Amino acid sequence: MGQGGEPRRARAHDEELGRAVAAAQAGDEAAFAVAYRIVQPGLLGYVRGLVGTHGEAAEDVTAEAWLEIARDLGRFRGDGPGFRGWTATIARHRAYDHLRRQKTRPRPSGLEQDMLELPGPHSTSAAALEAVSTEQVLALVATLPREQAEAVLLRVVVGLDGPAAARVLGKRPGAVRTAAHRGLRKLGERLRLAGVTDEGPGALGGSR
Amino acid sequence: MTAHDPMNPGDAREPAGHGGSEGRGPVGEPTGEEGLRAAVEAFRVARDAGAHQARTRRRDDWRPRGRRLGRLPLRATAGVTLAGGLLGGVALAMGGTPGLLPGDSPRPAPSSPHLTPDRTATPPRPLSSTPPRSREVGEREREKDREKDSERAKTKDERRAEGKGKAKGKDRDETEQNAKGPKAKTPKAKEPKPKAPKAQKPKPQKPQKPEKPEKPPKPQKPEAKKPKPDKARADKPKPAKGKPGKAKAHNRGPAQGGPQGSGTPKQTKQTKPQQKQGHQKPQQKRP
Repeated sequence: MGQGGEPRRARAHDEELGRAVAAAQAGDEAAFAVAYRIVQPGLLGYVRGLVGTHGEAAEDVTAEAWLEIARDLGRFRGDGPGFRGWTATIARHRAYDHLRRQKTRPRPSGLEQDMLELPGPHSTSAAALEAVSTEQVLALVATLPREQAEAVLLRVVVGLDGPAAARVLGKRPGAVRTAAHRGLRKLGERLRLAGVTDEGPGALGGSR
Repeated sequence: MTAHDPMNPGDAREPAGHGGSEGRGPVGEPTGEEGLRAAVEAFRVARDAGAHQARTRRRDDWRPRGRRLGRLPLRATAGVTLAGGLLGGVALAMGGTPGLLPGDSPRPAPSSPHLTPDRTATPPRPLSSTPPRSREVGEREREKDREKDSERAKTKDERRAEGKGKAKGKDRDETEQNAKGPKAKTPKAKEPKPKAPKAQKPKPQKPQKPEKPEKPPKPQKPEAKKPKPDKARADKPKPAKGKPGKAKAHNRGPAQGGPQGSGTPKQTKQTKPQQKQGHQKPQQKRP
């Protein structure tokens, strides 16, 4: 399935991340910055999928999560992939806190606006291209049911394996696996439709 | 936050070099750098405050132990089930064969003739062996007795003669009974098959084997008395299995109820130490 790409990318940094985390736990600020740079993109994407890309809510939630991560780094035990799961758990808790606060004072759901705010695919920066692709994917993921969306985000965006994603979600690995599978299948269908829509609006009905 | 402001332009210049200002976008990198600075600041504060030496809670332990623990029980359970199945199969196989054998053993009773010639061959051995043993023991004891006390030796000889006479008499009786047993059978068995009694004849000789080696030890005499009639009875009617149970009941009868049955072995045991003491005392006296 489409799960292979990003977990591989994440695995490529796992050893480096593990070393950086160990050095940061020993007190190395630079190592902590390295770990931040490795983990932050996936973490921000996950929080954006949970909170939405409207405004800077996801960035604020991720910043809160990083404050807690920096404070509790001494408590953490594990390797690079474990650090990803640990940080994802903290970010998830902060995101749900944010959503609870948001319920008290409801906002307009920002999905449609976010789709409009996304930068176009013609941006020159490679990072921007990557960001654009993730933004598009996140916008599509936000249309999935919450369980499937979270499973896909943790598996694909954060780069966790099945058991780690299940631990973050507090569910069984089998349930998370099936949720991610179904979510990715739906995403694939919608991405095809989205590709067709780029070519021409009239082809949407014809493709079906 | 003044420390963050000088950091911002320095960090923002690098991505600006890679691409245009459009690529940075309104949301992307500056916020990440701000977040990095805030996180590093928080890290520094926590480290200086000693918060990094806090205990690890369960939710903070992401070491891959859980996976290994989850995998090991699977392997262990699989191994245990396999080993249990194998052991159970072996146990069933081992338990099945003896369960089958007793059922089969009465049927292949004709196979016993293979064993009977060996047993028939053995009886002559005790016949030849027992007299020399008794002679040797008797000679030694007689020599000792002659040396020690003639009177006590006489009493012993008398007792032995009595015991031997009893035993011989029993043996004779048994042999007669055994001989009678097959004879009683033979007329019945001869009619259908003449060969069968030949195979059955050696069987009555079987009990002679254990009887004769049992003879030399004296205290076993009362014990030997009991099984002998049982065997004789059991030998007469072979096919019936229930009769040995009756024989057991006969054995139990005198042993439990009657003090005579229990008294006889005690008397024999008591006699021996007295004899030994009698032997030892004169030896001490003589030198």
